[in-house]
Amino acid sequence: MNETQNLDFAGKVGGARALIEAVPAKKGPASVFSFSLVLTSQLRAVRDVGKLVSRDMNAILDLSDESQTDDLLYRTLTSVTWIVDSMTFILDEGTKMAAAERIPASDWPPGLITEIRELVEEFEDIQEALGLGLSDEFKKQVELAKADALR
Amino acid sequence: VADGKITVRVGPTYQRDHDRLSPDDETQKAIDATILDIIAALSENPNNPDKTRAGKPFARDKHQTWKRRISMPGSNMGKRGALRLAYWWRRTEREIVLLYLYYKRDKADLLQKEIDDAKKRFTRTPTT
Repeated sequence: MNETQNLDFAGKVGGARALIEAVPAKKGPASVFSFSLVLTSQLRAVRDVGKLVSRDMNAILDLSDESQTDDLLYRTLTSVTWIVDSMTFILDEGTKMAAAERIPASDWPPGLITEIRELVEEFEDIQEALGLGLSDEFKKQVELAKADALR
Repeated sequence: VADGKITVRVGPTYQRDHDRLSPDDETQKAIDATILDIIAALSENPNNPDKTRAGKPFARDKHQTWKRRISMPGSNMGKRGALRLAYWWRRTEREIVLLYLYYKRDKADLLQKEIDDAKKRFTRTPTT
């Protein structure tokens, strides 16, 4: 994966996350915080850079077995897990806040949020393809399943 | 099942999973549609299929074993999330062997073990 893109993506996710965390949870009547355009533009950046990162990670799955070294696969698994966890947190918390009208609806546009959720699913797919591919136990299960199928 | 070029074989492990899950009609339609998608993608490009339809290859398996998330109708997603289909692409034989039908949580232990290993390797405690 491109290190610069990865850092850039981390910054974007961190930025959106920081905005969400900046609003303290409190009981009582819902209040609206004005992040007008700031949060939305951060989310757009998360989506755009996220697409580039997922493309790079998919390219790793396309490499030959010899090029898929332990170092590369485990590093990518660490990165993709961080992305999935961070983005899931942001989406879940942001959705709760939007429902409680603690952020303006215009700053949590459903179309953009759906796009980011689909991107998270894409990252989850990559995570699973990497993780199970690395698992000796899963490999054994697959080899047995293949042998059974050819019997 | 065959489209004239690619044959689909149902492996015993897939059959076992399918019997255990006993999908309703709506889910079965989604499974069938996914298999057709996979056939189409592999027919078009057997060596480097479109991953939106073919799914993703498991790492370090010579691009033989693939997994594809099954797009489920919203009402059928439930708490278990989307179903996955794992298959073996026998490129030379032009045959798809269905290996597993599972929910992500069914393989969660195996996945988590590798995630934990990855974190141990690359997450270091900062030194002061």
